[in-house]
Order: sequence, then structure tokens, then C-alpha cells
Amino acid sequence: MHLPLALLLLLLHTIPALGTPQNEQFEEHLTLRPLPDGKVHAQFRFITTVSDPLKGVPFDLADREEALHTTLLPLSLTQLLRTYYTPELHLSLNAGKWDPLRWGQPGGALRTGAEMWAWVTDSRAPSGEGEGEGEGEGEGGRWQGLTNGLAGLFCASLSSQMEQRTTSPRLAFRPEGDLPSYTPHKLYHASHPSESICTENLTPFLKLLPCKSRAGIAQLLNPHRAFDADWHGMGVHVRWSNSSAGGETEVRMEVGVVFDPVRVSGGKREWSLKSLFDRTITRSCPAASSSVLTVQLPEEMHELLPQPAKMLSSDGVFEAVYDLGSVGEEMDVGMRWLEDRFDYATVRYTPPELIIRRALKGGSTGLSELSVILSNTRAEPRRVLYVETLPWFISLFLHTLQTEVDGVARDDIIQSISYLPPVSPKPTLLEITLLLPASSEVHLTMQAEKGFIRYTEHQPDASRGWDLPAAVVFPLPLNASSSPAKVAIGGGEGEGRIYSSTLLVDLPTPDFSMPYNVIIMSSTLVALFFGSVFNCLTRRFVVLRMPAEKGKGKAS
Amino acid sequence: MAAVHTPLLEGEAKERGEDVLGLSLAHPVHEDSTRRAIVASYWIVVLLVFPVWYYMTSIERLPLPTERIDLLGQREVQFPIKIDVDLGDIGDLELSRTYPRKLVEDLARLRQGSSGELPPLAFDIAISAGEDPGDPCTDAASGEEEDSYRLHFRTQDAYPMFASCGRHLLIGARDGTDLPHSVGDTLRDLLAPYSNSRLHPPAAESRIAQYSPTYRLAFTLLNEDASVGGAAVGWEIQQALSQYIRPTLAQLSALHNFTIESQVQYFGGLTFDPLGPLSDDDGVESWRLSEEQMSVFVNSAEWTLTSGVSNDPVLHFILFVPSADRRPLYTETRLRLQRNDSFILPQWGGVVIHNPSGHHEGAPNTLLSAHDLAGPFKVFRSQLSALLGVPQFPPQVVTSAWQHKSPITPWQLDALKRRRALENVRNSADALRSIVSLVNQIENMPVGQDVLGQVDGALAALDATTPAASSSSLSQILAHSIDAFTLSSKAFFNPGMIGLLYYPTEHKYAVYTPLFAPVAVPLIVALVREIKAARERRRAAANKQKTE
Repeated sequence: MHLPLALLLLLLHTIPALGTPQNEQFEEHLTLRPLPDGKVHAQFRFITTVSDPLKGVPFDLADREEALHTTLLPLSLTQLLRTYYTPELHLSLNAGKWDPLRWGQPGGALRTGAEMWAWVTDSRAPSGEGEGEGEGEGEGGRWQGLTNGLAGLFCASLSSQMEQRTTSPRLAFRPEGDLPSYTPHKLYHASHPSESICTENLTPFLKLLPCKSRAGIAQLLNPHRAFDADWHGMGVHVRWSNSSAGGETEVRMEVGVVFDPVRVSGGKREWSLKSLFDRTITRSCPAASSSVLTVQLPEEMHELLPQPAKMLSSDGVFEAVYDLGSVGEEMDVGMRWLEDRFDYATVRYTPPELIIRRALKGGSTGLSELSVILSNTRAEPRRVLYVETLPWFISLFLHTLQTEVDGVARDDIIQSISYLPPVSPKPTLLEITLLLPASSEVHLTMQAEKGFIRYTEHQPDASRGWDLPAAVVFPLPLNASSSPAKVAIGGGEGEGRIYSSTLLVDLPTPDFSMPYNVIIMSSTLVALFFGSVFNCLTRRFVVLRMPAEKGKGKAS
Repeated sequence: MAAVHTPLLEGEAKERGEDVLGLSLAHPVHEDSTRRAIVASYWIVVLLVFPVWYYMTSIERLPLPTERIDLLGQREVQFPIKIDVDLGDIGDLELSRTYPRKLVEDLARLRQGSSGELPPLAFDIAISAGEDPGDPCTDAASGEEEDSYRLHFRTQDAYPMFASCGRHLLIGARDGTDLPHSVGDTLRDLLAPYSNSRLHPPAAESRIAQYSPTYRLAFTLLNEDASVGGAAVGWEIQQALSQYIRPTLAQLSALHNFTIESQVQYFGGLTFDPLGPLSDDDGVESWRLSEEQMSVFVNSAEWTLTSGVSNDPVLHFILFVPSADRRPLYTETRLRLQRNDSFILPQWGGVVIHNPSGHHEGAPNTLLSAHDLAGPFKVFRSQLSALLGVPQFPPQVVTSAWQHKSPITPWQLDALKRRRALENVRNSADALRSIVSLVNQIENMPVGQDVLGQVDGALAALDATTPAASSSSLSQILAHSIDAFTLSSKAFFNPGMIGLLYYPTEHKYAVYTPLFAPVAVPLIVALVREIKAARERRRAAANKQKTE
């Protein structure tokens, strides 16, 4: 009699809440951070992890023709990565103005534009034929296919001018996860500084989430409000790690938005989910194993409603944690301050630890100067890797590289330089390892020359100029003995990367009406010249007998 | 050139016998013949350069083999069919002599066609009698040849009227005196099922997807609204696939290559509200989908049903789980005992509606086990067969027990192969003819070496499908027809051919006119003047001759 009951209990225990054959898990997390100048930084994180004890490798090369079964992972993205043999992919699309002096860093993402890098299995690996190399040469074929696929998936023009934007850095962008060891991989990095993000990019992004924008934290992502903000961006990061329990693939999708309640409400910096996003959370996502909202508490007197379930403190920062796993009716979180109007003058900012300022000086013709100022505000020296990618028409003169520390010229802070000169159409790649002294300002200058580009290669608005991608600074550990290839960059999520702003460079432009002028001029010349010569050759000269008027002798 | 003259200069020049430029009037530069020679030399240069310019501005248009393409319509594919009739233990010798003739007449009628189009079948009938009357079905079905079918007549009562196993057809004759009349009809239903409008109605014809050598099958477990509760959050699809779908795919592997992908969706909202709640006779409330609603069921804007990675055509299979507050959901034309409602969207895929128990909000989420998926996947299997064109098996024929492991009988498979082979041959011939007429019509369309190679390859493959070729079994005809179809599609859709298609002629005139018109006008005017002067001279000379 008890046996069926026992069996039933056993059966119920063996069916987990989500019950997927591979252990798939989806977590969502929203962090709200009020910034010192009255703005609010909202960071959404959607992390899907799949751990498969059977498979040791993520996208097994031999498995490409096998069926692909996904439950929580987005099918389109996974199929794309499998088709092009990519174990690790990072894509960021950001727009707006991020203020690093007041807001800190946007979590390892660039400030403006699109950036994409991936570790692609080398195509000389076994079973390396097939649709992976459609256009382009062998190795570039997979990267080309991957960018085309991502451009189609996210409705962004990521695949334009790929040859002019793709580099393969040697020291930078080390893999954040593990790469399968039985085959070599190659790093491809491309950035599009002038790419903007719009609601058309957010819609397919939300379709990749298990609960889309119908339940859970993603309900808050209102495109109209998100793209009205001062800074907004999204990112997709895929990596694989090889733990003792087998392989684990992690797909992390992020959306970051910086709102300005002071501007919107006209002076007050209180905010709530409803006032920021124009939406509240009404349902919890059934596919999520954990759904958490975290609010970082500022130091001033404030009021947080409703009362949080938990309070955590890490590094001296207090956080209020709300669990959104079971949401009954509407869930709205709000924060209020005691003041009437927000006063910008009373705000104190803590300067960030590393500040980059970059400028390209010079007119549109002649030599220009690239000037980079790296400020280290910490009281101890730091070792950093500075990576600069410039399009092929800007040639740097490396022999003119000069370094100054606090105004004094010094030679010894550059530890290594890796330089790839530009070969049209491939861009320049400059990677410099520097040791920044404590509390100092390091000023790097280099002369650069701007080349002429062809008439058809100019952009439609040629007088605006070209956008130069941001330079990236990677903090390295101080111990210089470890080789750069094995360095773990920042935290597990690449938090330490710091991006500079993009630059605008003015190239000498031709007169675009010249083809018309040439046609007109040559036609006119030909007509006049030919006409004159022909007439000289074929006209007959005759003597004209004029009616004689003897009285008038001279010609009048 | 206007003559600048002054009376003084003119007078002086005339005295000296010169013109105003200081050249003697007798200098050959003033003579008519010189001028004619100059104009003529200009025109000779123009005429010599014209072919060079034409050659350098022409586009590459290699000649297509139009004669061979024109002859394509006259060739016919013939499918060889070998029928061995075993009269078995039918004792009547008389019958054994007349029935062969009757059978041949039946089949001749078959060839002329009763309703619908029959494929061109070339019959080869051999009749034998008095062989060992064993049961061919109990012998192992190994070593069966393609294209050869066997008819066995048996008089024992143990046999039903018509039974089949493998490529054998057993016909049970109750007494040895007369043979069933409908043997010819049954044979027609087995060999050419598409011509029988009862077995294969026009609705079934319109469901069949276009032929493609590769297909992608996308299976989706679509929950309408998982937040209400009672949703299906996962399924044991790998097991269900290997049990129900993969045997069919293995059988169809000669025709198509299949790639499978599957996903689970939690929020697949419908764009309309089903009719309901309606209560039927038992007082059970249910929601219904009308015919119109079934045709707009798929919400392509919101549902991402497939990864768009490759260009292969996709067949979608959706297992739809309605939301817990709108259950159970049935289609309007639901059979009483049928558990899973399903419908096919022609040439696109199929939908099966699964109503799990748990009709209230807050019911626990379930995982669909392979046992739960048995019913839906059997429906998916039959939907897949219908979409790929597998014909219906005639109901009067009983299939033996071991047929159920492999759901498609060899008769159906052969009929499908013949149909697809014919379709491919016709489509590739059409494509080739279209290429020729397009290239003839559009002057700007280039024809490169790769297009020529593909056209030649397609023609060679089409040649190999005719009976004149040495190899002509069904599988080889099918393989060649697939090659021909692939190559002719590649040639037709070759992106290189549309490169210069929209080159506007105004561009050409805009560049050439300001350059060549000022050059051409004096040349033409000079030519016209010379011709007029020559005519005048001839007339004057003729007049002078007359007056002399």
C-alpha cells in the first residue's frame, strides 16, 4: 500500500522544477545604482548556464550535423555559434555619453559604438569545410559568416567594412572562459565606433530571452524610455568553461541604462520603477531559477520603499535585495530623498582610479599628433596594457613616441610594444605595456600622418570625418614575470577594461564635383579643339569679291 | 573661317596669285581631292576603331547550348517496372492461360490512365505458375531488388483479399475459378497513387512542399502563457525523435538530407482569441479554433520558430500548449475520441495542440515525458509524411505486422521517388529554358563560365535520366534528377547574372554624348557636303557631255 505512494514521492522528487535533461539554469538580476549627480544607473543581467556532464567541449566540431536541442538557451544564437565554431563571443552595442569621471565604469563595456570580438576555431581544424567559409578566404570566412549572422540577428549593421575594422590582437582580449584545447583558436576583434543602437536592436535581443519581455525583470525594458536615457546599451557575452563536472556554457545578456530623473521630473531626484521605465513588474518569469533586484544605497539620508527583504554589504556599500521569484501583484520599488530640489553644487565625486584622455591634434592636412594622457590616481604604481586600433589611413610614426611623466620626459615606463603597421585595408594595431607610477599623469605622444583615401571610399557626409575606435586599457598584475598570454584580465567578467572616448578625424577630402567637371571640361576641349583643327584642314579659302566702295579705303 | 579682308591686302594678294594666307592658290592644300582625302581619312579611323570599342565595352555572354535545351521537351523519363506474377496454387490451367492476358489488358488500361496523370511506367511482366506456394512474408525480406514487384495468387482462405509485405502483393482468390477483378485497380493504387483522386485529393496535393535536397525540421514546444501555471517546461524530445521520427527520416534519406533543431518557448501568444468557453453535452467547457483562426494561427511576428542560420527550407512542427485559463483547446472539427487536435499548414509545417491536465491557475509546471509525447509525435510523423509527399496506402491492402516499425512501405517510397524524379526533371528543364529565354531577352545579362558549367552539368544529368542511358534504375534516375535540379537552380539563381542588369542606358548616353557629338557633327556635315558636291560634279559633267 505504501509502495505506490513511495514510488510517487520518488517520482516527484526526480522531476525538478524545470526538469531539463542537461542542467540548464536561467538567472536574472537588476541592479539599480543611484549616482552622485542624481542619475540612476540600471544594469540588467540575464545569465543562462548550461552544464553538460557528458560533453567535454562546447560546440563539438563533429557534432555540427547533429540535432540541436535547447530549452533555455536561445536557439538562433546557439545555432549561429555552433555553425561557425565559436566557443567565446562578446558583443556590445552602446550609445550615449558615459561620464567616467562621475559615474565610474560601465562594467567593462565601451562607451559608444559597437564592439565585437570572438575566439573562432581555426578553420584548419578537422572537418573544417562546409558552409563556414562562404565568402572570404579560409580563416576569415568563419568570422565573416559570424558577423553576418550577428548583424542579421540583432538588426545592426555589424558586417559593413569588416576588412577595415578587424584586427587580431596578440596580447589583449584574452579568453574569459576556457577554449577547447584540442584545436587552435584565433581571436578576431572589430569595432564600429559610429554604430548607433535603436529600438530595432532591442526587440530581437528580448526575443532571445526565455521569458521575452512578458514576465520577469525584462518587463521593465520599455524601448521608448530606455532609448530616451542618457546612456544605453546592450551586450551579449558567451563563454565556456571546463570545470571538473564537465563543460559549462554561459550566455550572459546585459542591458545598461543611465536615467536622469532630475531632468525628467524637473528638479527632484526621486525615482521609482514606474517613473523610470513607465512599467512595473507584474509577473515572475517561470523559467528563472533566481530573479533578484538589487538597489545600491547611497550615503545620504533616503527612503526606500517597499522594505527590502534583505540587506547586504560588500566593500562598504550597502545593498538592498528584493527577491522577485514570486510576484503577486505589481512590484514597484522607489527611492526618495528629503530635499525639495536637487542641488548639483553640493555633490562630491570620488575620482576614478584610472583616467584616459585621448586627442588627435592637427589640421586636415599635414602631420597630426596623437596624444594620450593616462592618469593614475592610486597611491601605488600600476601596470596596464594600452591597445589602440586605428584605420589604415592613419599611419603612426612609432619612432616619434615620447613619454612624459608629470611633465618630465622618461623612457623607462614602456615595458613592451607590439605594433602592426597598417596595410590597406587592414587597420593599425598598437599594444603597449606601461608601468604607471603612483599618483602620476603619463603623457604619450606620437606623430601620425593622414593619408588620402579613394574618391569612392569616402563616407556620404565626407566633411564630418571618420570616427576612430576607442582605445582600451587593460589593467595587468604588477608581477611582470608572468607572460602576457596567461594573464587573467580583471575579474571573471572583464570588469577591469577601461575604454577611452572615440575620436573624430578630419581627412583631406577631394572636390566631389570633379567627375562632373572633368566630363564637362574634356568634352568642351575636345569639341573646340577638334572643331578648330577640322575646320582648318577642310575649309577652303577663297577670295571674296566685296562690292567696291573706293571712297572708304580702310576697314571700318 | 571668315576671311579677314581688307581691299588693299586683297588687291595685293590677287596680284601675286596668292590667297590671304600667303599660300599660292595653286597649292594642293586647296584642291578638292585633298579635302576629300582628309574627310575620308577621318572616317576610316572612325570605322576602324568602332569594332575595338565595341569589343571592349561588351559584356561576357558565353553561348548557351540552346539546341540541346530545345530538345529537352522531347525526351521522356521512363521508369522501369518489373512485375513477376506467381500464379501459385491456382490449379486451373485454363485460368493460368487467360489471366496473364487479362492482367496485361488491365495494365494497358492503367497505362492509358483513368483519372489524373500517370507517371510514365515501362512495364515488364513475367508470369510463372506452379511455384512453391510458400508465404513470401515469412521469408526474410532481404535481397529485394528495386523496381521489381511480385504478385502472388493464393487460394487458401488464410489469406485476406489483398495483403502486402515489402514489395510483394498477396492476392487471395477464394476459389480457383475466377480471380478478383480489382487486381488492376489495386496495382494502380500501389504503383501510381497520385492519380487516384480518392486516395490523393487535391487538398493533399496542395500540402506537399516543394522539393529540396536538404530540409531543416524545427520542433517547438510552444506554451501560450507559462506564467499562469500548468505549463510544459521541458520535453524528452531526443527519445521521442529517435523513436518516431528518425526511422521515417532514415527511409527518406535517399531523397532529402535532414537537420533537426528544437526549442522550448514559454510565451507564444496568439493574435486572436479562440471561440469560447463553449460547453458540450457533458458540461465540459472547452475553447475552439475555427477554420479561419487555424489559417492565421502562426504568429510569425512574435514567435521565433527557427534559427535563421542557413538557407535550407524549414518544416516547422509546433506542439502548442494553451494557457491554463483557456484549456482545453480543440479545433472546431474535432473527432470525439481524438485526444490531440492537430492541423497542417500547407507547405509550412504542422501544429499539434496538447491539453495537459491542470485547468486552473497555479497548477504546477510539468515536464513532458516520452510517454506523453508518444501521441503528438505519431501525429508529427504523419504530418511530416504528408508534407513531404508520401502517398496514402490504399486501404484495401493489409500490411503485415512488421511494417509498423518502418512506417513507409516500399510501394509508397517508390511512388514518391518516381514523383519527385519527374518533378525534378520537369523543373530543371523549365529552369534551363527560362535561362535561355531570359538571356535572349535581356541584352545586359552576362553569362559567365560558371553558369555555362552548371548548365552543361544539368544537361548531362538530364541525359542520364533517359532510357537511352545505360543505368536506369529508380534510384539512379532519382539521383540524376536531383543533380539536374540542383545545378539548374544554381545556374538560374547565379548572382553573377544580375550584375549589370540595371545598368541604365541613359548613363551611357550621358557620358558619350558630350564627348562624341561635337566630334561627330562636323564629320557628318563634311561627309554630306562631299557627297552633294560629288553628285553636282557628276551632273555637271553629264550635262557638259550632252551639250558637246
